[in-house]
Amino acid sequence: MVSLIFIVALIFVAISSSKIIIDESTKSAQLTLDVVSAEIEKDITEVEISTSAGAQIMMAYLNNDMVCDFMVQSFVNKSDLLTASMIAFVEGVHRGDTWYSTYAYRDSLGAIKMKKLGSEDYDYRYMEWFQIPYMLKQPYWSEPYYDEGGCNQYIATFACPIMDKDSNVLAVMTADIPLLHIASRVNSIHPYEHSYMNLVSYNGSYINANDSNGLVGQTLMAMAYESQNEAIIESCQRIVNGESGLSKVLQGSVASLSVFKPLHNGWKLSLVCEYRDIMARTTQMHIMLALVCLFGLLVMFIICYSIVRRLTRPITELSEAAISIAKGNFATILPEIRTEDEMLRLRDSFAFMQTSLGHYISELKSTTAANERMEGELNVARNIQMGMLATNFPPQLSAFLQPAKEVGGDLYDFLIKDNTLYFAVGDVSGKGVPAALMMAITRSAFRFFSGLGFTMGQVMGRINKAVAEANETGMFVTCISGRIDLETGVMKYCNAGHNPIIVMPPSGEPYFLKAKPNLAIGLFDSFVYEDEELTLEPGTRLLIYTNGISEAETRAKELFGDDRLLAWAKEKGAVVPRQLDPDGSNKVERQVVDSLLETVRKFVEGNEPNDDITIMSILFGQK
Amino acid sequence: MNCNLFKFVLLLIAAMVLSQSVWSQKVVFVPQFTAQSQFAGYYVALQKGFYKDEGLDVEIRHIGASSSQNSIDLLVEGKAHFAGAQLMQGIVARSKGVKLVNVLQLSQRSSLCCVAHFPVGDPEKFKGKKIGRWHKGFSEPCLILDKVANLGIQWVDYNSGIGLFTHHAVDASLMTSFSELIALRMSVGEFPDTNIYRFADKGFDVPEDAIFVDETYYKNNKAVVDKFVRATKRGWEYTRQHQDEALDITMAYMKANHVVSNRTMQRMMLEEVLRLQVNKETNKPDYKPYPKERFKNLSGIMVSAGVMPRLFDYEDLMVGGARKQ
Repeated sequence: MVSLIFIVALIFVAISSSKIIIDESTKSAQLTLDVVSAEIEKDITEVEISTSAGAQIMMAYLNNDMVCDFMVQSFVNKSDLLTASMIAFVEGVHRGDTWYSTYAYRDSLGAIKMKKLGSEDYDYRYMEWFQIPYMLKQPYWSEPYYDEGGCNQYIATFACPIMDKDSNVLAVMTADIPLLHIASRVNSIHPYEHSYMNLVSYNGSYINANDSNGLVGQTLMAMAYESQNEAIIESCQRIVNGESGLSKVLQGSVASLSVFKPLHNGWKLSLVCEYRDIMARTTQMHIMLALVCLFGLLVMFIICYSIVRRLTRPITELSEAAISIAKGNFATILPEIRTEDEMLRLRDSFAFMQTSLGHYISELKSTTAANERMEGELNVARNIQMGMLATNFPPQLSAFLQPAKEVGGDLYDFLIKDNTLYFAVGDVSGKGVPAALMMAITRSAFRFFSGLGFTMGQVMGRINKAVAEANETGMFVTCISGRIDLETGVMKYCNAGHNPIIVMPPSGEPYFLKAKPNLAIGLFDSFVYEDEELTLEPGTRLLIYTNGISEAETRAKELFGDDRLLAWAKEKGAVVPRQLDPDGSNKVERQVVDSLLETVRKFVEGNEPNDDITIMSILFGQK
Repeated sequence: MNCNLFKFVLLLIAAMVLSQSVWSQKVVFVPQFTAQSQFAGYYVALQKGFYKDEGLDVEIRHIGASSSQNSIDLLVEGKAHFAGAQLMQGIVARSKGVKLVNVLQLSQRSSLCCVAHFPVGDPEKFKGKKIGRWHKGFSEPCLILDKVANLGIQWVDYNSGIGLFTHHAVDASLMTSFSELIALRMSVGEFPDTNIYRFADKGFDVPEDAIFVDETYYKNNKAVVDKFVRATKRGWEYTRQHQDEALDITMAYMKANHVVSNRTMQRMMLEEVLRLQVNKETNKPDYKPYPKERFKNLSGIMVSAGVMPRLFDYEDLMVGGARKQ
């Protein structure tokens, strides 16, 4: 912003000073023009006055040839400006002669010579220097011309009529001025390197022409037309029109100022100055000013930079420290702040943050380590739990268990003893490690008490006692257990608060197996469980599951439900074979378990299970 | 031995001089005015050796600007063999008994204008006015206009230049389109076209620049005349094709003769002179002689206007036309 202000100020100064310089230069050019024009006017006027005075005097002596000769001779002799003078008579005035003149001139050696001019070869009657003053009865300045036979140089002639008292022109008296003198004066004017001054005649011919400037024979308008520049043509037109003033012209990339004024005798003086010359020193000054400003800006920049750096160094160091701390270097040393200001308070806040962060990270590390240990132990527990599950499936049985967490509360177990298949499926209330421990106790108790000759009710009672004794947390286990005589198909079962078995008879619709309402295991250690009996037809399939199946839910909280379960059983029951696999594998029952799993997974549409899932499929197979 | 050698050298020199005089015919040509690009073709013919090629040793002798004599006067006085002059000048001179013939008609059109300080759409505007004209002549068309329209013009004779006009010593002035009119523009800048009465546009498009010789000289030196004419034509044709070079030659000639001018004006003059040499009907610079019928018509008008005393036969003057017609 400061730089911008500097630059704007600099531009303003440059423009203002340029304008002032141009205005002053214009005035100076006009003054120069006035000075030179005054000098030329002085010379011209001197010639005019002396010639006019001579003409006045000669009016009385025109009939005296000697006086005429003397007059022109002394006129030339006494004047430093003149190269020649003449008195030319009007036809018939001098003794009836067509031509008579007396002409005095300086030769190349400076000596004054006399001639009589006027003949067929020099018929002055029709020359402008004679005719114009004769006709206008006024003095006249001729166009520049080469005086061959006289002084043999370029001259201009001032011609003054000699009139009688009746204003009849009797003769014309002339004075010749060599243009070299005036041209030298004009050509010496160079207020600037490329400036130049011009003096043109009434008809625009260059009076300051010489062989070196190439203006001999040139006219102002001819030069203007040659330039093919409208501005130059217009400017020159104003000059030849006799105007006084100034104009600005642009030729190519060069801009020029032209000041001009007419002299009283019809000549026009002009001075042309190129703006690049006028502005040369100003341009230098501007460059110097720009350099000084730049230097000043640089110094100011360095100083400001130093101050800003000094002020912001603590912030930078704090920032670096923050980054270091963020990378875990809690021992990063914070910069010292000696000033009693906001920076010190910021530094103190940083220090507090560093300390707090350090403690927090340390605690986090400890907690994370503990969690990792726990997770490890849980994984071990899971492996142990999953390892406890029976996997040596007989051909007529398949089961699947998936804990909701690392360890779960569902259980299944089976064993075959004395051609009797003992089975159990249970669901411990709660989840996690406590449920897993309860599951282990329940399973162990089932396995221990099954096959000892107890009824299933008694088995469940003993399981109940075992669980209740270890149940300090008040958990319970829903469980269904039973035994099937593999010969006769008689099944004894006991349902302790669990989901009913789905019986899928070989023919007919599947149904939920009603059971007597026994309490869940673990609630009352003295509860007496009652079992029931069902004779299975060969080809009857039993589906035992936990509520992780029936209560599987979508993201929209829609439950799989008993109806869908039954519908699946009806559909599947019609397609899954009712015979055991001849090669002795349990792939048929596994197919049943997989099918139900697939159906439930499709239903929940990827939603995470909220409970453990257990499925057991038993086929009392047809032989 | 030395004496014989000396005699031999003398004889050799004499032979060379003799051969020069025998084989180079010396002739003097006088253009009608001072050196300028109006006569560029002649300078070019001289400089490029076209006259020499024809065996002619040509001297171009200009009349001084201050002289009141014209080129035909010098022809009559025997001071020139060939004279450049305007066709109407030649017609007037022949009518007055000067035995001269037109051997080459260079100009095919009129350049004459009358330039005034007021609009001049109607010749009546010139009534009673002071009009400048060249003392040497070239003003016949305006004289005819004066007489025919009874304008009562006050003629003011002058030698040359535009000073009388620019200083308002006259109300109007005769000017040529290739000289004074250009000089006027070079002096005062823009000048209204409404103030220019162009005779060519008013039905008076009479050719101007031509070359005349004395009748007797013509009869006795026809071959020389033909050579001069041939070389002159060649000079003008070269000038038309090499205008910059022609200008260089002309400017050098003018400087040597102390004639003050500038290249811009001389270039414009040359361009206009070359334009005037183009025949309006054929659109070519074919230097055709003035047609007989028009000559008869013009002569009649000139006699009626009192510009010339009597009629004469076309063939008396226009030898080039007589041959063809």
